[in-house]
Formats: sequence, C-alpha cells, structure tokens
Amino acid sequence: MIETAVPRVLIVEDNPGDVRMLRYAFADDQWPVETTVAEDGEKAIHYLQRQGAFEEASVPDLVILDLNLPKYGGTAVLKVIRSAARLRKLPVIILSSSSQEVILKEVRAAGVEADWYFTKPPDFDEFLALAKKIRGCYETARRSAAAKEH
Amino acid sequence: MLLEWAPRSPGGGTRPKRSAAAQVLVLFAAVSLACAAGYAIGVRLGRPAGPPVKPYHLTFRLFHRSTTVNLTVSQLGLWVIFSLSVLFLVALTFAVAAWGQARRTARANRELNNQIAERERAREALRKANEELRQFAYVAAHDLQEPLRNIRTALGILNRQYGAELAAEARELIAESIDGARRLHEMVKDLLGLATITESLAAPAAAVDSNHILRQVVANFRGEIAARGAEVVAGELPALRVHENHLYQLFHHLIGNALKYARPDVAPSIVIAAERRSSAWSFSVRDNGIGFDPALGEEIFNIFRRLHDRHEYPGNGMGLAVCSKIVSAYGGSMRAEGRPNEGAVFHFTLPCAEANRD
Repeated sequence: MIETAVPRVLIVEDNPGDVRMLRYAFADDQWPVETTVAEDGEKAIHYLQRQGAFEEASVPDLVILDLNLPKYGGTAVLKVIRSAARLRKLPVIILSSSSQEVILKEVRAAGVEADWYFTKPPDFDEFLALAKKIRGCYETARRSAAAKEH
Repeated sequence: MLLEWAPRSPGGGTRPKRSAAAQVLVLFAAVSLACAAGYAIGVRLGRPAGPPVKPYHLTFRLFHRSTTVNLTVSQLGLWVIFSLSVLFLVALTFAVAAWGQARRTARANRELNNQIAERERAREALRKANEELRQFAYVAAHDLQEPLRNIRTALGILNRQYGAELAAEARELIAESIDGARRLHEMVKDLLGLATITESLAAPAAAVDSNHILRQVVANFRGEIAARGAEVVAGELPALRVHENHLYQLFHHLIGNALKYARPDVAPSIVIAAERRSSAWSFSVRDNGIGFDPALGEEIFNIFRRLHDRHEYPGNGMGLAVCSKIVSAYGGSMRAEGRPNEGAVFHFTLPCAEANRD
C-alpha cells in the first residue's frame, strides 16, 4: 500500500444515494479523503487494471465495494483484486444491502475474501457511524502495512 | 352366502366377492357336470345311475320350411349338451363380469390419474407461489429498501446541512418525512420477516428449552420492566421442537405488547404458563393491561391491524400477525381473550420436543 497524505478511496457503487451519503459521512467525520466512483463492475475492473480511460489511474488506498452491481458483480471485482500481484494487498470493504451472513456466503462461494463486511445502514445516523468504522478499518490496514514494511 | 370362493390374498386382504348370480351359475354348472359325469361313469360300469339310455328324435327346420334336420340324440348326449351349454353360460357370465370389472378398474385408474394430475398441478402451483414469495422477499430486501434508504439519507442530509436555514414549518415537514420513511422501512422489514417465516422452516428445528428463551426475552426488556415496576412470572416451561428465533419472536412480541398496553395506573403483571395437550403444548401469556374489545379477538392478528392510536401506542401492528404466522407454520393455533381494562390472555400451541422428529 502506498502512503499518501489524503487517502484515495475507490467506491464501487451503482446507487448515487449511497455514494452521496458516504461522501457526506466522510466529510461530517472530517476525514479528508479523495473518492473515485465506479458505477459498475466493469468500470471498477478497468480502473484497477488501468485500462481504457483509466490509464493514468493510481492504485487506491481503500476499496468500498458493493456486491450487486451492473455488468460485473462485486465478487468478480474482488477476484480481479486478489489475483493481481499489484492489487492483492489492497484493503477491501464489502458494503451491501444484504445481511452480513448473506454477504459472507456470497463472497466465500466465489472463493475470495474481503477484509471487512458491512451491511448498508437504513438511516442517516447509522451511516454516519458506519463512516467512522470505515475510517477505523483504513487506519488498521495502514498500521498493519506500515508494520510489515518495517 | 352361497359359495365362499374368495381366498385370502397373500397380503391378508380378500378379493372382492363375485355376484350372487355368478355363484348360482357356478353351483348349477358344478351340479350339472357332476350329474353328467356320474351318469357316464354309471353307463361304463354297467349300472346306469339315471334313467335308461333312450334316444330322442329332434327335428329342426332350417331357413326354409322344406329344409329339415333330423337328429337322434341319446339321453347322455342331452346331458352333455346341457352341461356344455351351462358351462358356456358360466364362461360368458365370467367374461361379462371380467369385462365390467376391467371397465370399472379402467375408470378408477382414470380417476386416480386425474387426482394425481390434479395434485401435481396443485404442487406445481404451490412451488410457483413459494418461488414468487421468495422473489418478493428478495425484492423487499433489496429493491424496495434501496430507494427508501435514499429518501432517509437525503432527508437526513437536508435536515442536518440546511435545517438551520429553513423555516420552522419546513423543518417540521422534514421531520415528518423522516419519521414516515422510518416507519415504511420498519413495515417493509416486518413484511420481509413475515414472508420468510415459512421459508425458514425448511431447515430442521432442534429441541429448544423455552425457559431459556423466555429468560433471554425478559433480559432484553429488563430496562422497561424495571421502569414500570412490572413482574413477569412463569412456571416450568417445556422443551419444544421449534426454531429458537421463532420462539424468541413469539415471547418478544407478546411480552412487549403486555408491557406496551399496560394500564397507566397499574403495574404490569405478566404470567406465562404451559400445559401439555397430546403431542403439543398449550401456552398462555396473561396480562393485566388495557385489554381489548372481545369482538376484535380475531382481527388483532391481521397484518398492520392496530386497535389504538399510533401516537398513544407506537408500533406498526405486525407483532401479533408475526406470532400467528409462526404458530400456524408449526401447525399450531393462536387465539386471544380479553375485555376492556381487564387484561388479555394469548393462547397458542406448539409441538413438543419429541414431536416431528422427521
């Protein structure tokens, strides 16, 4: 993982309402992040593999990945991440409408693993709390990567 | 009964008996044959068993009056002809009976096949209905909740980001919208829960100690119980063969209702008891709350049915519908007794632990 002053977060999400809420919640938590949005699985894969319009794309510091996406689903994107040496250690958070049990079942059935799994909260205040958890996940991943480097 | 000729089948049952007419014919044929045989034997041995052999002269007119056939038949010959005729009649009778039986069997088979086809159609319809229910559950879980979530989060941002700039009435409208969206979310969630109760029965249930589940539910309400000075009394409860979360929901809704619908000036008292009835247990949850009109005893189990104002008693009227659905999913029944200001009793039955092991 590359250390950057402002964490780069790739949000793979097709619901603009969730993207807006996530951005608002990060800002509300005063967490300065640079967010990039991929609205479907294909765009996310192109972005991560620097294909087409994304040749200049940098590797994000964190991926927030929905499972139910147009074109390619979240598990296909996760497989791409875990199979590329350059991306393998990228911290990935699965954020889906399904229950954690269903999320885990779906991801494990695809033979891959994410780092964290969350269910999308139904309301505003819980979304704010989720943003704090996501920040905590990022900090944990950053500390873990730094410890390995040393 | 003329003749008992219906031997027991290997399986112990009996074949259907022949008609009385068939039995008479058989008896008659047997007697005729015996007479003919006895007479023939008598002639051979030189000791005629019947009247002496005396020829009969028979004349038949065939086709035309001028054409005649003259036959001379002995008495023995007549007996043989008679016996053969009787045998022929018996055989014909059997053939007709067999034909009738075959027709009846074919008709019965057709009816059976129709019934099987009808059941197959019903089974297929049920499978389709279950599939539609599963799809509904999926839609309720995902497709309906997404726009609802968008409404709630957008209203939250509007309220938080711009609320201070808006007039008081606008803020009130936003608050009402947020509350409406929250209630809609709860209703969708409850409908989803209701739709998936039967589906969750596909997994076999283990024996569960209802005392343990009740303790969990009471612990969950301990804050409210303490605040209202309520008492929850339960005798020794049995083990049941039900899914743990279903029993939890049952106790949760019933005890929650007893606490919610308590009389304002009376400390709630909730008594839970169980009584063995054949292969099931009959539970009762009794309270001393505000009760209800006995005429509404069945209606209160309807989905989203509320007897009181939402502001006075919050909730969406799904709790008892969920309870009733859970109980009926296990083949049990549920009913309520109550009178205004005299409390309510909810009765339900559930299978005991040793039942439904398959």
